[in-house]
Amino acid sequence: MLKKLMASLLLFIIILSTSTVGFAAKANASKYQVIIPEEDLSATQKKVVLISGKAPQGTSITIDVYGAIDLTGKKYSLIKLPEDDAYTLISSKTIEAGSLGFGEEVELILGVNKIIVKFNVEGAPVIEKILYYFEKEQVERSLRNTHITPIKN
Amino acid sequence: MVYKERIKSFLLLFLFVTSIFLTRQLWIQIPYDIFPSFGRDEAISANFLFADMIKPDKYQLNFSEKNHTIFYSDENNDLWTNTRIILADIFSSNNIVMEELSADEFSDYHKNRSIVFYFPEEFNTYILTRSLDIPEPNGIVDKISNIDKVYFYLGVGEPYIIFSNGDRNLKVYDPNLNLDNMKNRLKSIEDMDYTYYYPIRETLYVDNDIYIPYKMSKDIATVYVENELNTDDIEEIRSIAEVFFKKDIDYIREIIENNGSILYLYDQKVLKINQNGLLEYFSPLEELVKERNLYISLNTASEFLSNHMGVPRDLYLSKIEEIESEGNLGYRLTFKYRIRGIPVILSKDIAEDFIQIDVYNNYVRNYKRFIRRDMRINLNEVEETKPMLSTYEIINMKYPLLAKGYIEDNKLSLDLVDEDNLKEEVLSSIKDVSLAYLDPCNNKQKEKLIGVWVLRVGNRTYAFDVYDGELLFSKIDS
Repeated sequence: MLKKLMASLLLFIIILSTSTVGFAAKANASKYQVIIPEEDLSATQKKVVLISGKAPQGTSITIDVYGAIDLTGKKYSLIKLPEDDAYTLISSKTIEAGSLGFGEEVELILGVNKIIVKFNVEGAPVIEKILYYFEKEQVERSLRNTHITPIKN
Repeated sequence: MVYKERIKSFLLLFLFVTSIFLTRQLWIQIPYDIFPSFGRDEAISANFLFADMIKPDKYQLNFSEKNHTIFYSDENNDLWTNTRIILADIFSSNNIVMEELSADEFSDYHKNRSIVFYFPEEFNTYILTRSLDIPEPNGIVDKISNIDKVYFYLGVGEPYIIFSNGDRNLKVYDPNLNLDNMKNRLKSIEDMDYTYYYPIRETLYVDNDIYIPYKMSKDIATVYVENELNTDDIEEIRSIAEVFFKKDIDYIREIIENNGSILYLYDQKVLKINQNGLLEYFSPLEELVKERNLYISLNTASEFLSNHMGVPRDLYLSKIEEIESEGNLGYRLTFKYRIRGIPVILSKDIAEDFIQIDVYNNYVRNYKRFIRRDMRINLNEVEETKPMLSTYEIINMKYPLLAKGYIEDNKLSLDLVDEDNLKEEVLSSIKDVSLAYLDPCNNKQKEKLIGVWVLRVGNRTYAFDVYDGELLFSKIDS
């Protein structure tokens, strides 16, 4: 009986401690967030974009910008993303979170840009955002070059 | 013979141009913003008109949903001058269609391509129309009695204007409204280098419609100033006394006080020139003023300012207060001015502001003036190596100070306050953010102005150095 009781108690302690660890890790993750850009994939006509979010004061954060060089502007899009090895590191900056969190403007290259936000804390998430930077003239040019085949009756 | 005729034609043309010039000198008072070629470089203007008093102090340019900027300076007044003509047309049009908007709807309109002009305080709409020289304005003045901002839609489709005072937002259409010039101006600014501003409602998740920059595109210019009045030059001071009393100095009583201040007395009127450069004037009222009229008072003030030493080119009306003295009803008008397009604020209590004038309809009772001139010199000092801090960086750095002020003013108990909720409340209580030059008022000459971010948070105003974030000035608003 005593053995059963001891085993049950041990099991109970294990279950309780496991759930505490799980809960703590989840709570910590919610403290590290990227608020802007909101979407994981988005398009922009602005060369400079803001990367901002939440992190406890004093957290070191690295923002890496990778770009897939596409001189023709036709190779990649948000639907046809480049392979991981097609990206080149464009810029990297390490900043420290203040009372409000963090906010940093980064410069994009024309085409697909991958922004990786790393919170330099163990267990904190690594967040990835894809931004497609295009110029209005580029879209107009592509539309002009699109061949429209007349419908034959 | 042909040669003689040409000389005659030239002479005739010369006489015609001279006559226009002299006529303008005699009769036509042209607001110096309308024709940029007149008096653009004059530091002091003799003609300060009603129309020059009412000017915005902030301009928000919305290029698209994600692209905004704010200008605190409009050095050549290009944006506002062109807009004034459009406003005059809309206030006198008989074809307008009006529609009320909710605060949320108006906030969303800032995502559209547009320009918003912010005034330093709420102006009476009727007074605004009078400043635009419209004797009989249309129904807009009845629908919205006060205005502190005007929005111009410059996107695709039918243009419109929104008049707002925070509580009410009135959208006005007019089939004849043409905003093509403003659209072109916005397009040309879009191609330039400017600082991006972001709505903190989106970036910080707080209930507030203000926009702030995260990184500055350029630094603020270094400026040195000097007192307008050279108190060591007695002849200059005496000539000013002659202007005020319209009498030769021989008829005016002069008293020099121990502290160096000089008093001039004539017929119960007093002029005092303080050693620190502050000018004070007092004139008793000639009759009892039982009813106050803002329009008459503003005209009296503009005439008085024009006839007494003129005013700095970029002077603007920043505050209107109702006052009462010995049963007389009047207004206290406070003016601020810009140097190189940026508003200047005083750090010391030498004067409440640069120009303060107590007007009782047709009479000026009190007048105070403390003006500093841009010396436009370069002292070859080592330029600031640190980049200028953005508003975001200042708030991020100084949040504990802002929170302390908020807790004190709202009598909150630290034990009961949740940190995240407090942060949201403090950030939501930011009423305004603006760029200014702070005049330390320590020297009569070669005084270096300090660039500051002025934050109005709850009931407090803070001024932080734009380069190191140091708190240089704070006050609790009454």
